[in-house]
Amino acid sequence: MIKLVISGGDSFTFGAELTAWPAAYNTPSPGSWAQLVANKLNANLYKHVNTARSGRSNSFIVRHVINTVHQALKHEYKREEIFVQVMWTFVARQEIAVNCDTQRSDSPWFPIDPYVCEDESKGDWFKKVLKDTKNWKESHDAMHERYLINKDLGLVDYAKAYYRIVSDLHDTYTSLSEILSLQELLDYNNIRYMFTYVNKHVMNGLIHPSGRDQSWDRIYPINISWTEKFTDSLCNFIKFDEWYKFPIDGKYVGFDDWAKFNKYEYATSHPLEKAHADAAELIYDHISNIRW
Amino acid sequence: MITLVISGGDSFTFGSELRDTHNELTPSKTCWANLIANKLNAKHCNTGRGARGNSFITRHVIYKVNQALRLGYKPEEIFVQVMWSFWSRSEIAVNFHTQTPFDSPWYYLYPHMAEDESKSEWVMNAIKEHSIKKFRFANGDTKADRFAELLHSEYKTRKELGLVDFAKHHYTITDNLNDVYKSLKSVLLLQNFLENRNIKYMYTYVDFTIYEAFLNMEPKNKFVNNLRDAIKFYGWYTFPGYHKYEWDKETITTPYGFTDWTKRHGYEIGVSHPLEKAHANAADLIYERVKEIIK
Repeated sequence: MIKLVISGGDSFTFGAELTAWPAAYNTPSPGSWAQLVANKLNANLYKHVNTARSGRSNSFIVRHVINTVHQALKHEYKREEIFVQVMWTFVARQEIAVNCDTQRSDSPWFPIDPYVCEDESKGDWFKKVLKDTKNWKESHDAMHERYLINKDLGLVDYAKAYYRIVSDLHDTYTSLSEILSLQELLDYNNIRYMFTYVNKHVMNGLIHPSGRDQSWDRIYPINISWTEKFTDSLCNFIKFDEWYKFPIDGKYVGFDDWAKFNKYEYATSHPLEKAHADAAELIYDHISNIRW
Repeated sequence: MITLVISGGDSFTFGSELRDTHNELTPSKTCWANLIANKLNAKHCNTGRGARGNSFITRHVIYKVNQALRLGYKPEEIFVQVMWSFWSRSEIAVNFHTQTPFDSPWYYLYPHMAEDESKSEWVMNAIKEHSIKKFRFANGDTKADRFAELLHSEYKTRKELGLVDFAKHHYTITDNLNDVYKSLKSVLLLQNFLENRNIKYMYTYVDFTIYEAFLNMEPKNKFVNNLRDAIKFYGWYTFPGYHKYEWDKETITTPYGFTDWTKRHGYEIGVSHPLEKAHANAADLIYERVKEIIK
């Protein structure tokens, strides 16, 4: 019987832009798919730890899920009482532990993605978001303030130097390695789990560099193309066939693709309550049908 | 029965400075790793390479295990042996050719890569010392100044490629936590990967500073401690003897790694690596542990 559900992911698992956001910015939303699945799994009797945070990487996910699993085992949860569910995020997101206070949660771990190099509130994607969209002002101000802090700390310069030389291969390999790390740790400890992913860009990024966000390519062009023996060997050991994929017309996609295709309501860039509730139903059905 | 040995490590596993290594491209037949494979009468695949870190080791060992399984080796026929490298070494896959003869576009990162080490004090001392005694590089070169020239040309290449600029930023904003966490992640990934596939393995390490960092560095960081708790350090091979020092009124003792043991017993050393006799005797010692693991 499941007594503890541990969730990992990014803003889509945190439940960004749901009703509880931004008033309770640092607390995952009770309306997120992760919480709703946890409710179904243990009927609110036991516990859910949602480690997800917005804008974070697969390395962050693995670091926090391992930490929570470790704490749970220390606190005398049995392995068979723990269930882990992860919605993997974009491979271009990385993290680094820095030697200063990042002035954000999880310091000194600092999340890096190509947007760190620029003031995202003035970026192309945000210009397209209408000012009367829900949460527009909060998102704009948060992104602008974050840029100023990062610049002060030297993190913008670091990110620029990093993106001048890093390849897609590095991003893909790092994410695959993180995913395999968690899979192997959970398998070794006989802890049950469900893996899924945010959208097709995540999957394409894991399998092939064409999954990279095209707007990032325009800012930091990548000239390398590769098929790579090291990523291939990791892919060979990751149990992709067991991942939950959302259905669209016989094809399989991520949560975000499925929500957009089915025209669920969105805020600036995240699906709202109804999409989370329906996604949780689908995921729960999948979990219920897994033979442990 | 073991029919394939896969080894992982850095220059100490590759066998740098041993007589049969040429241009640092082919691992030595007289390195400890190959000698153990010989004792096991097994085919040997040595992925060790100079200057590389622990993420390199895990990347290459998993790749070779994947290849071996695809070729039809059964897990019980494979034995993996790893001599873990310095925790401060890491790697990055870059978007250009690294102009190194091996493993491009992966490039190895280490704290001094932003400097021209050919002008450093330790290199000057090494040149002085090795001009006096009979000196020989792995490639047969006997001119001690060549060492500095080599380091200088590597620095120039790194600078031209933008790696020096990146390294300056990287080592300005990161510290030990980043490196030791990532090293432990590599160690744990490989451990769980091998355990889940019932592939037997032996872990050891180059020197005591590595083991000490793995056990004690960043003692208050919960993420580091989680990894630490999951790694089966108790099964690692440690060389006989201990490094001891005083810290905060306590005596810290850390078991020897390969290099500590060679220095302690006065084995002949090249510029910075133990030579043939040390490898042969190390292989004898490690083999005793290997026999216990595979029986």
